[in-house]
Amino acid sequence: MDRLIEIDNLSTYFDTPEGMVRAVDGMSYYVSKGEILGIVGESGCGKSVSVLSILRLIPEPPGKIADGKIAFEGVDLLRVSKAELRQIRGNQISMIFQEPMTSLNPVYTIGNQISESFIKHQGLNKKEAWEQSVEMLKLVGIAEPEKRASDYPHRLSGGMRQRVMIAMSLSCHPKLLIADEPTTALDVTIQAQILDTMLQLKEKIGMAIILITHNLGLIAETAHRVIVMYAGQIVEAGSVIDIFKAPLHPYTQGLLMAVPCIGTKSKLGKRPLKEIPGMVPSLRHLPEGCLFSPRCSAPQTLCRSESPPATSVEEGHVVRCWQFH
Amino acid sequence: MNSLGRTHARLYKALRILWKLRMGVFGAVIVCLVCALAIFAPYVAPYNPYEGDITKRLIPPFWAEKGSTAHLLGTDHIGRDLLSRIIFGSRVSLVVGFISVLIATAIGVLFGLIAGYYGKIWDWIISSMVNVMITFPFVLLALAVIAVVGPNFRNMLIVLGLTAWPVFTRVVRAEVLKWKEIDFVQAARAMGMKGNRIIFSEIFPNLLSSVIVLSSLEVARMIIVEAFLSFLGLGVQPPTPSWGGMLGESRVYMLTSWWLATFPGMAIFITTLGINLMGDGMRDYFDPHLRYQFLSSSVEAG
Amino acid sequence: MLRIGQRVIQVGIICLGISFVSFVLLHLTGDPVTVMLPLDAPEQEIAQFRHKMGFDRPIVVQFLAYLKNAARGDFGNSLFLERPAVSLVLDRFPASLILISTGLSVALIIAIPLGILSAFKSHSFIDNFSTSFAVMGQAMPLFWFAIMMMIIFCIQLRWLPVSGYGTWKHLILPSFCMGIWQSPPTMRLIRSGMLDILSQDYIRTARAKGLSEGKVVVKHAFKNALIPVVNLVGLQFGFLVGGAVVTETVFSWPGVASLLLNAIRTYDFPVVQAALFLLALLIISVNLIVDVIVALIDPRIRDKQR
Repeated sequence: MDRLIEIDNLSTYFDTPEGMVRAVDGMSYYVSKGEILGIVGESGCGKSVSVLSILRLIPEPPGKIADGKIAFEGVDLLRVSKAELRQIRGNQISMIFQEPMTSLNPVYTIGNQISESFIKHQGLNKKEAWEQSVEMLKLVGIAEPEKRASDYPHRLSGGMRQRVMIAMSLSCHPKLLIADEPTTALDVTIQAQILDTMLQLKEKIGMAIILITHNLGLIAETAHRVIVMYAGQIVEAGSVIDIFKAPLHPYTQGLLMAVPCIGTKSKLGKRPLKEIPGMVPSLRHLPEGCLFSPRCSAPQTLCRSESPPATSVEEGHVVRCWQFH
Repeated sequence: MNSLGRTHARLYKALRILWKLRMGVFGAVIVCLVCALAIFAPYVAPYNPYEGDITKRLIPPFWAEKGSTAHLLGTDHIGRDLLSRIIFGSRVSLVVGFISVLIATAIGVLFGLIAGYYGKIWDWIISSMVNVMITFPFVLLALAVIAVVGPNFRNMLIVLGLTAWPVFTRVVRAEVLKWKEIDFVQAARAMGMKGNRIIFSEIFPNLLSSVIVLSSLEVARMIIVEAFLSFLGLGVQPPTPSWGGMLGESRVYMLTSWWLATFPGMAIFITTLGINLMGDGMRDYFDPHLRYQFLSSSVEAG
Repeated sequence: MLRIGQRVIQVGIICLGISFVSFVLLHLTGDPVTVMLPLDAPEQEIAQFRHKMGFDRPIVVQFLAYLKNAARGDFGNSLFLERPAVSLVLDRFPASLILISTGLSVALIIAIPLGILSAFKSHSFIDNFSTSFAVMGQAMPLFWFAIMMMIIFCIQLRWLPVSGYGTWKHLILPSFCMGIWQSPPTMRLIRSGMLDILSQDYIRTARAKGLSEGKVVVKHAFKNALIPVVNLVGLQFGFLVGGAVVTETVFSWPGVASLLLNAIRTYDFPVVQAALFLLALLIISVNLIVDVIVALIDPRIRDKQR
């Protein structure tokens, strides 16, 4: 099992008027070469912050990567120099974001913005870079790529802009693509297309993908392994089959049970949707002990006083719950 | 928590807010001091600002060579005490500032409400006027008008008010447009509430904070404009003490009597600074993004 | 193109407005003759004057005639100097232009670096310093500042000449005063604009691509920041013309603004009208140029007109 990138005990904090907020607290995971790792969790659980930390894109005041080690190709990304980091960004590790409408600079053409990666990382001149950019546009399925390259972002629809983002991030054939909710802001019909494009290119280039989403169905369909996050911590991690067939952590079980299923009414009669009682705790006022204990259906006394460590239940399957310690 | 504890908590929170806004508080303190000076001028000023002793003309401030503690800031070319004139000058500045802004606010807010709410042709007319008036330095036009109608107090107030309203209209119009589309206003309209009533009961209260902040900042600007007009001889006429007028008179004596120009100007500067700081503080206080910080539950419940 | 058409209409409206007010100025007191002639002039002279100036015609006719003449650039002769008002004004234009453009440049030279730096290093020492500078600067009345500078540099230190026109030494203090006076609001705008832009998603994208900080700021952020700044320059021009009145007066700078002031004082109406009109034209032209520049920078505006 070739590990491409290994994140060890990552902690990212934010300084707010109410005090230090632990957005990511002691996260450890890895991604193997060529695999698709899904990260799921509710809004605010720290998914985006954790991957932004990989590329050190956290705004330094008020944020701060307080602890951890990220091993990638023999270097620790958290300690490497800024210059070396920039060699890696957009080149070996690329990232696409949730909001295609605002992720492109409105005053430069598409071609110009894609060319930047080629110029910076492959040393091409403007003309060569432009030609390559047009090729990339073709690759992501944009019609009339030569014409489109001279367009400005505001002329393109959301779906097309996201394709441009994909083109931009894959231009240097990165080993790892981080996709932070790439389709959440798009129409359902477009979502499928964008995902297809991403997966096709993945096969072609042979890269790994970290896919962040709150859409469990998407994970089930595309990912090999999945991490479940809650309030800044990993509560369960394992292969998609393990997690979906036999979820161990109460939170994961709750999430899966909450997914509405077509055909339930006819099979089991009319019943209300199952939800997880309570609310996600504010990161400013975290509960004592296990972070999920206030909402757990079967908490023990230990759960309320001490936070469980991540325990390996079987090969590749990790749970953070006292039941399995 | 008992009632004494609750009061303590509220007091603590209020003090925390004041500390965060300490620059604004500082500005407010200055403004209060200046207002106090203006109101209690006759009791605070050591001399009568209109009477001068020619034998004691052009005395420098007390720390200079020929100065005396009898006239802390020196005397002017007619022998009038500078400190007293400055104290009384605050009256002119503050009155002009407040009243002209009052006029400008009344006109400006009204126009803004009409333009924003009723739109179409009203908006076009009013917005054109606003654009024209903002691009061209209407101060110049104001100068000409005052010169023609006569440079006196009343005219100055009116003309200043008439040149300052566009800023208000612009802000109010933008706010009205924002609020017009908001759901609860639409709901009121659907229920049959008439236009005017919607404006006054639903939209207006939300505008209030922006208008208040803007008014205070405009008062500062009006004070400077009044000083400028008086400096040119087109504002408050001598012998009434006005900071701008004093600056204007001082030009002739600049070579030898630097204090005649320095202190009146400093008075303008300090007053304006205080008002600006206070206005900025108010703006920070009303800003919805920052309000969160003030209303946070730092004082734990219970 | 539509935008230019709109602007031309606005030009027309502004000129019309200014002309109207200038025209009304004359008649504000009821009888313009009383303003223009000494009080004890003989009846006959008054009547002659009235006829000569055309004040005995109906008001509307007078206004239309005035407009017609204004369009041709004819505002009549100055009441005191027997020369066409327009040429008097145009004579002094270059001096004012030099003063205003130098002042504007000084303001930008100070404001742009400070604004960018304080946005970049938000809450650092330089940010706090610039913000304090801006707050104090905005409270400072220009005419006081000009006089203080004059006292310090011309009288006490004797480094620069007190007034006059001709060498760069004469230009330094006046333009410096104007520049410093306008830099606080400019700096604040640049700072808030930059802060806003630096928090935008596309900046994050640029960083994620591995571009250097320099490139991120200079290429990606700055061009976007220019848009509000260029717009501001257009507005600033108006303020600067207003400020020129003060500066030209204090430093005895022979420009249009001081000519206007003099004309106002002496009720030399043709000159007042000509000066106001030409200044309005100047400001509008500058604004037009500003609009074109913004359209060049921001492609979204170009498309809005379709």
